[in-house]
Amino acid sequence: MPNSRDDLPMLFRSLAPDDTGFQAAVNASARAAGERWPLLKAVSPKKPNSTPALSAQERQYWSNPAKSDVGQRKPALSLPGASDKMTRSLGRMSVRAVSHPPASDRNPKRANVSTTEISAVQVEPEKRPNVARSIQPTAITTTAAMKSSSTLFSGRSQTRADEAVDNTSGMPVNHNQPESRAAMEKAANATPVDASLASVFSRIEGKVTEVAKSASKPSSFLSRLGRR
Amino acid sequence: MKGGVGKTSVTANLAAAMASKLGRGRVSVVDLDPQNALHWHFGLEGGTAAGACKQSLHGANWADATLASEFGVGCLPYGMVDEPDREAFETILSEQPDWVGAQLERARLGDDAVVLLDAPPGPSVYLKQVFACADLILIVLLADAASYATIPAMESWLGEMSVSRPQLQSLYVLNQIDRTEHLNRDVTEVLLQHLGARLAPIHIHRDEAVGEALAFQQPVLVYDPHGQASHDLARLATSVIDTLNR
Repeated sequence: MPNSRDDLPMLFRSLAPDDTGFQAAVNASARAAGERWPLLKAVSPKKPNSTPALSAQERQYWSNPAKSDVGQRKPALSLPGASDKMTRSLGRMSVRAVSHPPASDRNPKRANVSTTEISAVQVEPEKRPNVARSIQPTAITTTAAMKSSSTLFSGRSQTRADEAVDNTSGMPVNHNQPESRAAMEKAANATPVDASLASVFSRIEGKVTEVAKSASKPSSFLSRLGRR
Repeated sequence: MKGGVGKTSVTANLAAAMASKLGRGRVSVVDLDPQNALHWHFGLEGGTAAGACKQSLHGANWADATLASEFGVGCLPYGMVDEPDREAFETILSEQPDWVGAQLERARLGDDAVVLLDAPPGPSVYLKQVFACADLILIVLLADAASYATIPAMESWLGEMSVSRPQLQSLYVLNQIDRTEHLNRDVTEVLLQHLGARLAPIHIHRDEAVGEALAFQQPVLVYDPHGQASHDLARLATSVIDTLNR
């Protein structure tokens, strides 16, 4: 039995049934099938176009053992108690901050800076430091978490608002590092934060608080350091 | 290309159907799948230690380990082997691309006869060996999304292999068709449009008799000779014989 019209000798092609209608019906039903099932439309049962070969630079990333993370030793998981302790200490700080007069009376510029930073953090979370963003999705590796936590307290002058938000997210913190401990002490002994910071903690604790949107431009890094 | 589509069942039952048309002793099956399941379809419980793997490692003739079933089909199992033996066999296959073809010649299994080779799913050294010596490649698939999604990869692999053997034919065989299912029908329509003559004209319908026949260690044509699957396989056997004879 010939499989197609082309298999027939010339003499019999004219006698063969006209299957154009059948083919049209098949094509139409196949199109309709593709509309019903997205996979049938997305994937064509044909040989795909060949993908371009990797360049020499791309190859080195795949084959260079020096770039592999296999040999790196994963740090131990942090214990639950560390973040709980941090949360409690920050909570104490927020209580102390509320009991002190607002910083806006003493240092207007600083207050504005803090408000801006808090609102920037809350309203535009994408502008948070990359360190925090990287551990938000599923926190796959503790390496990333430990690196980010040590970076937070490694003496880098970060705003207290950022620290507060990040620290109370339950991230493991390596407070055994001297830099982080010094930074924590400095934060505890520094000028009390204003009421805006307290509002941050209030929100974290589940209390409803309005977010103060600031119309001012984001402050620079140096201005965030503040004049101590 | 994909596991679980019924390759081994189709191989065994198609062999039985072809044997019923060509006569006893003219159809053999060779199991190249380390799963070593092909012999169960013919009720060959004993003698599964020897097989294509062990014979190859010992340099022995495949014909010596081929078992004659009561259904007119000769069966060479893969054999019950441990991991080192399997790896050694695969090393032989990877180093000698025409090994299987040479062993079939040596065993004279294909003299005026048909040999069906059952390879494991996916690209492998076994599939390369089959491609090097086969006259016709049958690609079994289901009319479902999972099988459909593997077709581009299969076409790509066939394209690469056909560089050395451009005349080799390949046919897609739809298995376990159920016309009452929408997806089944739609996948069939789409494949018919895209593959055209490369889709075997005979589709094997879903028939519980196929599984039951295996449970009885018989080909389905013996277990349920008047069932839908038996009917489909008989027609498919005729189509395959015609294709081979062209």
